[in-house]
Amino acid sequence: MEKRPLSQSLRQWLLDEIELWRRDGLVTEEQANAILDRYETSRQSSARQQSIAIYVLVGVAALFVGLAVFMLIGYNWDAFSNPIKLMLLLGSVGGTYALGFVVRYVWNAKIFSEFAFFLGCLFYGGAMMLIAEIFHLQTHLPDGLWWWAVGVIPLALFLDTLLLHLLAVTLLAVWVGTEMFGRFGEDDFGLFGLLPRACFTLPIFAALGLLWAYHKKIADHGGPLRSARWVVARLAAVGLARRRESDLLHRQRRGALADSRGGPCRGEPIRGSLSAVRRLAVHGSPERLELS
Amino acid sequence: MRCSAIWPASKLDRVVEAIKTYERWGLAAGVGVQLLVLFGMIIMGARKALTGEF
Repeated sequence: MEKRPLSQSLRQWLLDEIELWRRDGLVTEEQANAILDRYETSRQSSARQQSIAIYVLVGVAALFVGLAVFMLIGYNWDAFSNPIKLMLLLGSVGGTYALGFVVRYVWNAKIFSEFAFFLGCLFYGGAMMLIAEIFHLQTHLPDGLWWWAVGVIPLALFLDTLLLHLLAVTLLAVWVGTEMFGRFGEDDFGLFGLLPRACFTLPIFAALGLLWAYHKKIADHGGPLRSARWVVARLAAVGLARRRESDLLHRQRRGALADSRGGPCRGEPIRGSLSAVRRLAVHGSPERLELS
Repeated sequence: MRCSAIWPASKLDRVVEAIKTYERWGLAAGVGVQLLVLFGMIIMGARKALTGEF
C-alpha cells in the first residue's frame, strides 16, 4: 500500500497522540504500529520535501531559460528576415515539444519532460505575440491571452502537472484582469453580441478546475491551485458583468445626452440591462448620472 | 446536494483513467492545437500581406 504523505509537525502530533491512546488502553502496540505504518516515515517525508524543492528550483530554472531565449531573440530580432523569424519561432515551439516527448517516452524521465512542456508553452505564447508583431495583426489584446490559455489547458490536463496548472491559472487571471481593467478596444469576441469577450468559456474553465479539484479532493499540493481556477472564473464573471454594465451605461449616457440636447439620438441602440435602467431611474437626469 | 450525486466519483475515475490511457494522444492533440493557432495566425498575416493591408 502506498504510504500517505505527512508533514513533520503532523507526524510529531500523531506520535504524541498514539502514545496517549496506548497509555489509556485505546489501542494496542500492534494497532499503533499499524496506524503509523500507513504514513510515510520522517526520512521519506524529508526526501519528499527535498524533491519538491528540486522541482521548484528546476521549474524556476526553466522559466529563466525561457526568458533568456526571449531576450536573446528580442535583442537580435531586427537582424532576421521575416521567414527566418517564423522558422525560428515554429522551430523553437516544435523542437521543445519534440524534446518533451523524447524525454517522457524514450528516456522515461517524466518529471523532466514536464519542464520541457512548460518551456514549450512559454515559447508558444511568445511565438503568438511575435507572429502578431511580424504581420501587424492588431486585435483585441486579451484575446491573445485567451488563446494562450486555451493552448495550455489540454497539456495541463493530460500531464496533470503543477507547473502547467500554475501557468494556466496565471494566464486566465491576467486575461480576466486585462478584460476588467484594461481598455483594449471595443471588439467583442463574443457569442452573437449576447455575451461579451468570450465569457461564455468561463463555465468550461471553471468546470474543468472543479472536476479536477473534486477528483483530487484537494488533498495534494496542486489541489488548491486547480480550484483557484474556479475563483478566477468567478471573479471574471463578476468583472465582465460589471464591465458590460459600464459599457451599457456609457452607451446609454451618450444616447441620453443626445436626447437632452434635442438633437437626433447618436448613441447606439441600447440592449436591456435592468440595473442600468434602474440607475438611470434613480438618478433622474443624465447629467447627474454622469457624476455618479 | 452532495457533489457525488451530480458527478459520481466512479464516472470521474473513468474519465481520468481514459485521460491516462490516451495521455500520449492527448498531449499530441494539445500540441496540435497550439501549432494550429500559430499556423492560423500566419495564414491570417499572409492574407493580409497579399491583399496589401500589411
